[in-house]
This record gives sequence, structure tokens and C-alpha cells, in this order.
Amino acid sequence: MFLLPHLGTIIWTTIIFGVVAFILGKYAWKPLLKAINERERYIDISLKKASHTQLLLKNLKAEQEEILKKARFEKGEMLKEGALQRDKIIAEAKDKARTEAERILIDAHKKVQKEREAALVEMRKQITTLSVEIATKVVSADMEDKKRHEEMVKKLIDEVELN
Amino acid sequence: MYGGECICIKEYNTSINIDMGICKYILWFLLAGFFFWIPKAGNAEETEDVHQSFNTVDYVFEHIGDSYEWHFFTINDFHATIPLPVILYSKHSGWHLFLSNKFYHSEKDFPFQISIEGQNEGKIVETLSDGSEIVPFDLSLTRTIVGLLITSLILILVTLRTAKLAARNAGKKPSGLQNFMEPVIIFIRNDIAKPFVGEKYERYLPFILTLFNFILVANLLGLVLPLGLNVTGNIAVTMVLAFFTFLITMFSGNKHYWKHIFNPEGPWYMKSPVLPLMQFIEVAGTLIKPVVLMIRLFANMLSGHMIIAVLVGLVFLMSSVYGLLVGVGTSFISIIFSVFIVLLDILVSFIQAYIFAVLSAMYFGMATEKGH
Repeated sequence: MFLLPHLGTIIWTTIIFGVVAFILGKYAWKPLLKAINERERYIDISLKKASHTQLLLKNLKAEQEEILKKARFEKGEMLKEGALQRDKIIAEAKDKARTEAERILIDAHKKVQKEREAALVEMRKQITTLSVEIATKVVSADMEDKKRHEEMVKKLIDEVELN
Repeated sequence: MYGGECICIKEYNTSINIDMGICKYILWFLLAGFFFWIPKAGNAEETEDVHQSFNTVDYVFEHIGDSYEWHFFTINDFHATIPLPVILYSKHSGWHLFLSNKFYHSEKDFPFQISIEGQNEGKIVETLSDGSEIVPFDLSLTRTIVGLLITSLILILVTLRTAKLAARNAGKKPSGLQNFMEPVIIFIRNDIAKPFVGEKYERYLPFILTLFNFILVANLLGLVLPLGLNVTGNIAVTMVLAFFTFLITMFSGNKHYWKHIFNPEGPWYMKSPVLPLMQFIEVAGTLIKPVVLMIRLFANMLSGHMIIAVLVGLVFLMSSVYGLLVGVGTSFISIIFSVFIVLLDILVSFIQAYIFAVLSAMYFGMATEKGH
């Protein structure tokens, strides 16, 4: 009784299962499998992209490091050069100042020398004038006592020299 | 017998609020029932009486077989039953469509009735005007067909809804039903279709998916006991499923497949004496494969239902033979055994759906395999 399939049941089952298989195949499994496959592909691509990006980032980081290193090195170089320049400028300035000072000193010496000479000339002139005056005085005074004359001259000269 | 002790120990261990007193009481009942009353029941005349009051065989067969009405339960004279449409074609009187309750309370000269005995037992027969009986062509929507329709409805609703969700969630993360269905689909694709069909798996994947899910839902639907449905435990249903597999295998068989059946490789002097035998075996093999598919699923599901029906029937038998108290005692064992069997059958449902799908995939794989 159970081992004999009923024809009506067979027909109904065939129809029902056939329709279900058709509907599910067309409207359920097809879009679902498509969605699953697409997602899997998307995940695959994304993973690949991610690893690629990571590699890129790694390279970028290395590059960045390189640039930083270079920049740091350049900065050092610049600082060093700046210091050098500064030292040089200072040294030059010192040099210049020294020569200037020397020149001024020399000029001053020369001026002093000149003024001294001028003074000497002036002095000589005055001595001469004074001598003449004194001589005039001596002469005009009584030329009686030679000894006294000499003393007087001497005394006058001393006075002059003191002046 | 030892079952009784087991239950008591189990109940005691898990402390389901049943104290030892009740447990002992039940045990005493069982012991008494099995040792004292069974020999009495063995008496031939008594057994006759028993079968008049409660016929276990009829009860079991009514529950696992097909029927023209959908019967849930009976309390005294109240039958909780949904009448199902009966569709008949008789050579004598043409097409007929009526509800099955017409069999039970109908007008006097209603020609159709369900045969109770004889060679047409269980079938609908038409009584002609001259008193002779003929069996009309029966296309009724029986309980099994209702089960099939429910299965289909569940499957279609769930999968179409999932497909809709998948379309809406394209490019986004899956949600809801999708998370439930997609692992199943991926499992069938990766662990059934890909390894067993081989490289052409994509062509057969929709069918294998339908097959697996259909069998699984039908199996599990049969385990919802109050519904009293038995879909995959019906040989006509499994026959159709196996026939679909057979048809697809036949139509996808390539040159290599047919050559293997009718002219296998080998030196002619070796194979020529046995070639007819080999051909016979191979052809028989192609036919036996779907038959085995059919019988395996059918027998597995039927046996599960039968055991549960017997366990439930035992309660009624016991109470009708030995009185209500023994029936109550028996129901304890029956319920616990039934729960165990149902749990086992859930496992079997999955395994049978898996095996059916795997073997079908294997046959498709054999049919499409390339020659070596």
C-alpha cells in the first residue's frame, strides 16, 4: 500500500515540483547566485586593491622618509653655510675695522706731526721775534756792562724757554 | 522496559521538579504493566477485543499514509478535520470536483465512496447504476499534495523575499533572511555542486539548490507533528524527485558517458565475451540509481513517522487495554521517546536532503565527465 505510488500524487508532484523548480530557478537562485558571485568578486578585487594600496603606502612612506632625510640634511648644510658666511663677514668686518683704525691712527699721527712741525715753525718764528725784541731791548738798554748783558740775555732766553 | 528506569534517572538528574515518589510510582506502573498484564493480553480472545477497541495498525497507517481529508485530532465525537478537494475523472460520468466531506455525509445515491476493503482498499470507487464498481482517475488534492503546496509556498516566499533583499542590498552588506539563506546556497555550491558535479556545476546548481531546499523543507514540515503531514514519506513524491534527477542525468549524458555504458574501454578480446552482460549491468545501474534515491528518502522519512505514530498509538492502545492510568504511564515513555525520535528525525531530514542532493550532483557529474 505504501510501496505503490499513486498516479494522481505523481502528476501533482511533477507539476508542483516543476513549477517550484522553474520559479526558484528563474526568480530566486539566479539573482541570489548573481549577487553572491558579484559580492565575492567585489571582495576579491577589494582585497587585491587593499594589498596594492598598502604596498603603495609603504612606498610612499619610504619616499616621504627619504624626502625628510634630504630636507634635514639640506637644513644642516644651510645652517653650516650660514655660520661660515657669518664668520666670514665678521672676520671681514674686523679686518676692515682694524685697517680703518690703523689708517685713522696714522692720519692722526700725521696730523699731530704736522701740527707739531707747524708749532715748531711758529715757535721758531716767535723765538726769532722775541729774540729780536729782546735784542732790541738789550740794545736799547744801556750797553754798559757786558757781564750784566749776558746775564740778562740768559735770563730772557730762560724766560722764553719757560714760555 | 529499561527505558522506564532511564527516564527516571534522567528526570532525577536533571531535576525537572519530579520528585522520587512520582518517579517510583511510574516505575511501579511500568513494571506491573509489563510483567503482569502482558501475558494476559497475549490471550487470543483478549487480543481480538483489544483490536476492536483500538486498532494500532489502522491508527499508524492512517497517520503515515495519504488521505482525502486533513485530520488533526478527534475528541470524542468531534473531528478536527479540513476536507480537501477531490478531483475525479470517470469514463462513465466525466469530471467531478467536490470536497471530501461528501464521502461521510452525503445524499443516498452519491456514486463515489472510499473503498474499505478488497483490492481497491483506500481508493475512491464509483458505483455504477448496475451495481458494479469502477476506479475513476483520481487527481484529488490529498493531504500529501497539501503538504507539497505548503512546502512550495514556504520555499517560494522565503527565497523570493531573499532574492528581493539581495537586489536591494546590492553592493551593501547582506541583511535579514539573506544571512540565513546565503550560507545554505554557498554551502550547496561549494560543498555539493562544485566537488561532485565538476566544472559544469553552474548549469546544475539551480536544480540542486531547489532539490535540497525542497526536500529539507518537506522533511521538516513532516516533523511538525500536529499538522500530521507526511510529504517525503510518500513514495510518489520521492519517485518524482528521483525521476527529475534521472531525466536530467539522461539528457546531460555526453559521448563519454554513453560510451562507458555501451562500449567501455578495453581490449576487444577481453570484453567481447562479457560485453552484453556489462551493457546490461550498466543500463540497469542507470535505472537503479534513481530508484535507490527514491527508496532511501522515502524509507528514511516513513520510518521516522512510523516510529512516532507507533509510540503515540501505544499510549492509546495501553489506555484502551489496561485503563487510563497505564495509558498515562505509557505516555511518559512515549513522549520522551518521541522527542528523541523527532530530534533524530531533524538530523535525518538534513542528512537525507544532503544525500539526495549529493548523489544527484554525483550523477550529473558522471554524465558530464570528460573522457580520460
